[in-house]
Amino acid sequence: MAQEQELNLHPVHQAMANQRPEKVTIRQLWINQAILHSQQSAENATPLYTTLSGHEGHEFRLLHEAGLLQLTETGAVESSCLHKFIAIEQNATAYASLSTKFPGLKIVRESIQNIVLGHTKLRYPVGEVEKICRSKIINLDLNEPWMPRLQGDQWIIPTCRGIEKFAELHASDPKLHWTLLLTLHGECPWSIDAQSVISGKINDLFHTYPALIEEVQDWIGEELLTNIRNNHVIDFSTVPKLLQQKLLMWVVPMCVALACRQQGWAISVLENIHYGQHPEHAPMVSWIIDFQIPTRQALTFEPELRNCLETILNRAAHITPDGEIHYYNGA
Amino acid sequence: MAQSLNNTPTTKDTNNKPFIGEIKVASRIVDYLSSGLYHSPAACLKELINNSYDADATVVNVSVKPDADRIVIQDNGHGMSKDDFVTHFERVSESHKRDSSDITSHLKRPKIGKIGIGFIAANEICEIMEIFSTKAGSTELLHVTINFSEMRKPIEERRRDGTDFTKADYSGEILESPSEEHYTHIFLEQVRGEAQNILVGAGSQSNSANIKSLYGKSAESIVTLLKNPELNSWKDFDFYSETMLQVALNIPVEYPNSWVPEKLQTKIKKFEDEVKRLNFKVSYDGTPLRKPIVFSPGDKDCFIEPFEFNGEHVSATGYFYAQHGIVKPQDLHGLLVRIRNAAVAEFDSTFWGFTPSIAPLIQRWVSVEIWADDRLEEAMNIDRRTLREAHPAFVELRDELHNRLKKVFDLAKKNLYEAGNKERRADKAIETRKEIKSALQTVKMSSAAMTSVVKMWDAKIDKPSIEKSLLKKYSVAELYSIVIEVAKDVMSDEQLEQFLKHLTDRLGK
Repeated sequence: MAQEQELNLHPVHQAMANQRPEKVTIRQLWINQAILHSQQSAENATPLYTTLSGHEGHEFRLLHEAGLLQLTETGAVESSCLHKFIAIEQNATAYASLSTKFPGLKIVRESIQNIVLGHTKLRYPVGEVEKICRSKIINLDLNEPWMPRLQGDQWIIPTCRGIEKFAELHASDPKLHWTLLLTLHGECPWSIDAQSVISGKINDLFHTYPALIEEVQDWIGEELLTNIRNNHVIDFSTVPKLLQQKLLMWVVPMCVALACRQQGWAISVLENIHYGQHPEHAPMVSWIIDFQIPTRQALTFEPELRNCLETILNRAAHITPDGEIHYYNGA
Repeated sequence: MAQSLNNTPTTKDTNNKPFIGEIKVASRIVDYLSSGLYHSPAACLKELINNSYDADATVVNVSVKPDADRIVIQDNGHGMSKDDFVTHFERVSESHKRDSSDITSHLKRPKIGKIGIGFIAANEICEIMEIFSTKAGSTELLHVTINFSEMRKPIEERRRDGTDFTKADYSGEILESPSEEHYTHIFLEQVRGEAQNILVGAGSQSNSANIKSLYGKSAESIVTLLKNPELNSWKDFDFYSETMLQVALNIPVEYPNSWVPEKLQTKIKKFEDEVKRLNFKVSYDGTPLRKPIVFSPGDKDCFIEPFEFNGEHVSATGYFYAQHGIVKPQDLHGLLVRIRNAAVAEFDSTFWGFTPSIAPLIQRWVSVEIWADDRLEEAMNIDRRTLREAHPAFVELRDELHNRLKKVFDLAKKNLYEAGNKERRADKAIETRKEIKSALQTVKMSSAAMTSVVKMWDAKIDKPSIEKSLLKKYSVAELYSIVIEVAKDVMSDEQLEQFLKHLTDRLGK
């Protein structure tokens, strides 16, 4: 980095910059998706990668190393890549840091919630922001749990609503194959009401697809599933973190698939991972969810939804503290 | 008469006390001021960068691309507290910048800012300016948002219902920051359309189909591009690059490597060292800015004349650069004056109204850069682009510069123009000798005679008299006279008659 670009760096940020092996592995999975998308289509007008990268912008460095993000002799983003890679960063300090590390990088100084114009389904972004939202890859590396909230008189899961709006935007003409990279806290700090919302979704789903019950029971255990299904109050602080992560590994993709079922996607969970087993690390869950345009025309979206639900756990895996991926089915 | 001149005027104020008051200036005046002061986005950016310089920043990063909808200027200067902000910003033009000292506290730089209006430059570019700033030793991070669009509204619109209170021109908060940090980050938000187009480089003033951009180029690559003899003007680049070059010309950044031919480098070293000592580095979208002054005469001759002046009203130092042929790009023609290391506008191609009696052509062969002392600052108008022409410092420096320009022009004429002429004459003489040889080849003559004739011109080619003879031009009458005189000696009358007849026919064609 040129001397001109060396500015004061927050020591906390420097500490955060130390990359944990688990995160390095996750990032590499993300970059592989970017490589796949760039191989699938040479079309250049659509952004390839939109992300909540944080102030370090590790992904942009990796995208550069993968030959996707071209930089000039000064380290600035090449003109041909100026609107291909986009960071969403509300924090001014992080914004400043990113713009110094990657001059020319498109950075949207907004919260992700503002980008999709809140939780309402009546307002959608237009113009340049809409274009950004239709990126081939959306990486929501969130510093939050999967949390139902009361919005007016309706319970919603804000993250799920945001994903639903991204999917809706990609579904508008011309429909665009895209991939969601989603990372969340691996805990379930749900209130009693929030537990009821999750419980209701699960019971509704099992009513329609009873064949799923056995698989889920095998995955999270009979006791937890029974408590959820019977809407018993669960003190999640006593539930082992691993079990909470595993619950989320099934609940989150399920909610996404249900939320987007009317949009006609062939949704598949390409990676379904938990990590952060080290006592000093926060437990995390991460997914790579692909939204393909279905190859066959169906009268209803039900076959695609069922296929998605039945395969959610096919790629379930965990990453060890030293960064190795272990798939539960041994793949 | 009802009135008497001797009557003491009465007032309604029974106390009849003298009164004093403060003329409060509406913040809308900022808009009027800035629109008159800052004629281009580059002029606005350099004001903000020079503020960083005055804050003892050693590193400034300017972010403009990809869309210039937001511009970020980050520096590692000493930062600002809430009190500093209020002191400096609440009353435009009541600057406290030089209250305690006219040099910066840490790096001892001469402060550029004087009356504290630099920040209003931002008003010309954007609707909102956000400042994040913190000082070393403090855990407070100042965050202020100045709403220029609000300030531009008429006072009636800004007044809240039924009260005297107006909406705030700025709002602020104190956030937390580690105590060892010190910086100022400025976000110019909602950049105005026209400024945005210029800053992002949408097009160029050049008609060239091949518009070049300096975006993403290293300092070395920019020097190479500026040395390209086909580059006539910075306008051959896109607006983005032109703005970048204009900013770089003004601010106290270093010169690029190899900006003058090697043989002249010793003459400019002291100027290079002076700006290096300031330790001020600015990067523009990752491109390290250097002064965009590059003299590349190719194989043509050039010289530098140093300038030192200690007058009654002003002192100055600098250099006069001259080369054989037009200095390119043309943006470097003329005179550039720096006060406290910041340029006063751009190169003035008239050299402050110099009307040379000799060869106006040479005017475009010369580039002058001068550093004047603070006394010239007193002559500088608020726009920082023009100088009061009646000010004694200006008058004295202008007269001295014009005297020196005459001498430099004379020197250029003698050393570059006339020396060039000499070279061209020698070349012409060699060419003429070749033509003579070629003409002789068409005549049947013995090789001895041929050698004798050729040898005469070959042997004495370097002699000025022979060169003169070779290049001498003759009238037809002179030609007749010479030919007849020679022919009489070697021809019979009959041959002479025939010869003259043919010669006359040939010359009369």
